[in-house]
Amino acid sequence: MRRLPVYLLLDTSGSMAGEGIEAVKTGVGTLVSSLRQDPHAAETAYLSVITFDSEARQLVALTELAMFQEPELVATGTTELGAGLGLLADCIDREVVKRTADTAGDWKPLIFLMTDGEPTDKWQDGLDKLRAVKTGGIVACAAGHSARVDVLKRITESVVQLDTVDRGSIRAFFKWVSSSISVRSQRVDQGQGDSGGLQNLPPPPPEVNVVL
Amino acid sequence: MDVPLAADDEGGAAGSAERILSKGAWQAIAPFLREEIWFRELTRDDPRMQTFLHDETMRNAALRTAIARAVCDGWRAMTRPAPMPAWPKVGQSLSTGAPLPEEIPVDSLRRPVGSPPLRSSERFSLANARAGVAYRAQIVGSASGPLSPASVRDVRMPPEFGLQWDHVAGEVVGLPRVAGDCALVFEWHGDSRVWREGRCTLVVVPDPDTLWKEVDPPGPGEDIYYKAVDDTSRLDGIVAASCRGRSHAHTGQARDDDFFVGADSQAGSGWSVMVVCDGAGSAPASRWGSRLASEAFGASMLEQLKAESGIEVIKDLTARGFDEKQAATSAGRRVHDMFREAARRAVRAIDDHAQEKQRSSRDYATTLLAAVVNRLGGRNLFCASLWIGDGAIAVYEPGSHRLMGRPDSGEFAGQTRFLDEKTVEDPSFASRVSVTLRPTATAVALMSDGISDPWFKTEAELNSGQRWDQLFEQLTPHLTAADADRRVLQWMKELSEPGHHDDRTLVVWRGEGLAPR
Repeated sequence: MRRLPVYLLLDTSGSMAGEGIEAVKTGVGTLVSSLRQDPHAAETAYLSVITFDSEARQLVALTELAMFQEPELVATGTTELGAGLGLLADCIDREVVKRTADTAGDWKPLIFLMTDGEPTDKWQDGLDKLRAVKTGGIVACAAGHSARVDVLKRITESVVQLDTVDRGSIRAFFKWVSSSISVRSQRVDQGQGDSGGLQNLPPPPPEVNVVL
Repeated sequence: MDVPLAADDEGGAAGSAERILSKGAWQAIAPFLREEIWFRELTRDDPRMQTFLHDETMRNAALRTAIARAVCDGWRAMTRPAPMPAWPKVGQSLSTGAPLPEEIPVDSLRRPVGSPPLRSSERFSLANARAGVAYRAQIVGSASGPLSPASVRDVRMPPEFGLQWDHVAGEVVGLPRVAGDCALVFEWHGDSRVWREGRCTLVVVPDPDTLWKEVDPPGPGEDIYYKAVDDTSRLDGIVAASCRGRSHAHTGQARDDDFFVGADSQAGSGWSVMVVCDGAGSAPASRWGSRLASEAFGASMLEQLKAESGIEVIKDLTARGFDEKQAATSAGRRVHDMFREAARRAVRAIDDHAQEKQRSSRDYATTLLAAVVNRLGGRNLFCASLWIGDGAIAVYEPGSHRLMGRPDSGEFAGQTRFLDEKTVEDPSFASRVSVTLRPTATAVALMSDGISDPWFKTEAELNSGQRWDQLFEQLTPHLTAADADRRVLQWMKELSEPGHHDDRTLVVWRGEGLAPR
């Protein structure tokens, strides 16, 4: 079966502690349970969670939605964005099946990145690794105004920003991520392809501002 | 030494039980009790009973005493005419629900049964279950790993999920009936041997099959491009069926696929024309693009084949003492020109319509698969095809097939080509045309990717003869039936494959077993 891989790359640095990380946890939970109600996503979407703080970790390997279990997220340490991007590239390279004569191949992976601060490492190295793998679109979310929008813009065209790192806006962001995955899984099911950035995703809610 | 039973309101009976059930008596009745359904029922929620049942030596005197008492309770309950009461919790008498005396120690565990449970920082998880799929899983602790049957007791969960605790295996088992979050509360102990309270959520995910909805598309009054969700046709040797996929049905969208079938029955030249178009899902009016293109292309081909050029092709192929390769090349060149002309007309039909509606032609983007077939008076089978986009065209006979081209697709799935001026005028257009002469061929099939993708999961399978044989094994009984088109439609609707719910269209020409023209 052609899977639709979805990677959540989440900043779990110390600055996310408290309301921020709790809202992200809730967001991931809501995301998964609402996608399970959507037959397109329930059949095709596979989800992985990668976090980065002082180091990058893949907390959940690419897992079919039905079997996905929410990981425990703890906010601590620095913001090694480059390590996160590098690990993401490794995971995509390892987990996403390319199409050959004998295998159907997966759809191109959809990536959602969320960060609230300034990278503390050489993020360009990680970005170079990520450039080497094929993706079906990266959406980067700057949570609050401490996040470096200019850095995110270097990673992807599709950058959105939350004015505040609070429960309401993070919930709105994850709700939008959820409907974006629904729409993409429907698109691939109808043979409409697996590429494109924001223009192929549903319009974000008012809490989520598109950075032009 | 046996621990004496504390005096309570059940004291008399329990006391006699202890007398009746000496160690020897226990050993005698234990196998019998294990077989007794009432006893199993009686003890199923009580891990102490299970410990006993699986402790053949019954060295634990205190436990034996507790069991003995419970057995007596059970016997009394059984002889009572009224139905058994609801299963009591741990720490309650099995018959009366009254609290058991606290001084009954269980093994070396320090916390007696019935005292308030201790909280723990350990996190527990259970593998997710699927509604309607048999389930069996152990509780897993974040630090202690899978919990053994002896280290878990008093597992409680809402009954509506249809799941229960199997204390023998130490697993949650059952056939989950409903989807949702099933919250479990239980007691467990780790190395410290202290019973603590544990909680975990078992997620029962819905069966995706039950989530699909069937929503009508906008009706003829609401949508100028309205067309029926299903369509079929039978014409001479051709059976065609097209249905809306689950994906479109779920969201109330129309069928984007379309087809055209035609035969030159009047002139008797024996030409059949088949076209399958799959409107691009990303194009808002592609459902009409597929209709315009298939009709314009099909009509143009029929017209050309009936005219001089079609007659020339037949002459090429039936000339006395003809060189087969040369004839096929010559006929191929003629058909190629006809295909290009028909494709131009199809592109023009879309362009004209788009202009009239003041829309972009891209709004009507569609793929196009076409084949023309001639039996050449029964001596041979000539088939020429045009392949733009995904899907499949093949000339088939049992044990052998010829794929009439290659689907347009890239390294990752979902990349295809559409019919447009660029494709038609490009020099590579010729590579999209195939011709073949196969005297023993029995069928020609055209299908949209809604069928080729789920049926041939890989390019290797598309090229494998076995998969084509299997396809025709399934299809032949339907194709030869009196209501062949409806039967094929039904067959394609039942073809189920996760992640493949696109519109489906199949057109099959069969060279035998059909009414003569």
